Amino acid sequence: MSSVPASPAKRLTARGAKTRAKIVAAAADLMYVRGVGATTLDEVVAASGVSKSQLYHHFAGKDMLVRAVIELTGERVMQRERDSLGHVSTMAGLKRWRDALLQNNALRHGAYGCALGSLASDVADQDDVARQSLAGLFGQWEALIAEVLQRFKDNGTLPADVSAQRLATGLMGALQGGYLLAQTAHDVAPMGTSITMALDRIESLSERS
Amino acid sequence: MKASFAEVLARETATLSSVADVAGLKRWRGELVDLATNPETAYARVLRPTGDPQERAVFLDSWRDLIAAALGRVVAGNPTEHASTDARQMAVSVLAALYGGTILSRVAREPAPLRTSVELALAPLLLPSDTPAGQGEKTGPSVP
Repeated sequence: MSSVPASPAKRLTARGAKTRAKIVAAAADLMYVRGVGATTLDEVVAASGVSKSQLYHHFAGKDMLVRAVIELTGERVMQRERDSLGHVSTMAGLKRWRDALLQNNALRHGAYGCALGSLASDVADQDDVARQSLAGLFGQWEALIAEVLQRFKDNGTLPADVSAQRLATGLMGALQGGYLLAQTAHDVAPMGTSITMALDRIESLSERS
Repeated sequence: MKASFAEVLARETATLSSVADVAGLKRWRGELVDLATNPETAYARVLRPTGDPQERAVFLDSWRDLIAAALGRVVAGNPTEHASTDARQMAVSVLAALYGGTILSRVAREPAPLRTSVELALAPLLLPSDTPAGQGEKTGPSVP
């Protein structure tokens, strides 16, 4: 999926595509660290080493750039999550997924949160096109979790009357909220508590099956 | 934002002080989700990650303690059933569910993800694991 170039890139020369990618990567880094609102186009120009006219050649304005950042961040997060969740079919595997998320976030004392969740907080009320693409990305991520839980149901880890989709939504809520609490506390501990409690619940349901 | 933090804490102090059993907990949860999904309320304002981070951290600690005290009373009311429930950890989970569920609900433009997230966080107290689970106790249409 990620090998298919985004539609605007198709019309670009190789050099133009490279410039565009540089701009989007720099903007994604800045917006992740500082937030969308606090990132100016001048800073993106400075950080990416392109000229202002090159930036405006590729992006009519900040909204368009933010949409490209969402696309790039979505590809990165979904790639990571497909790799880590794609073959999970046991509780132990799900716990390893949790541990990896916590480990990665602990490296920075939880300072920056989830790249996708932060974008959602920043732009959900600002730009409806951006909101819809974020809704699609969260939907894909939840679907990956729901597929894990469906495998649990298929292999008897979870009872048949459990809704994999609802549990997946709840687990995603626990994950996103955990990121936010960790960010506020500068400590990954509340994120660990939040996800672990959700996994404990899933495990307690599995004891019924 | 300071005023919204104070308003929410004042209301939560009042409502949570009367929560001591499962029925009270359900009432509180229902009101909370309604307030959180109404963009005109102080709840909706404090659930956005804006404002001074230090003030937010103090606010969250206070709110967590209020929730933990109420959950502790529910647990104490039925110690055999809820022996394994840690009220303080569950309070952290409930706050996480509120914040995370709010992001999902804002992006989806519907209250369901927030409701589901908070339900999962409180499930050990509200939904015994030997009942049809993950479904929520109000048997609304189950999301496919």
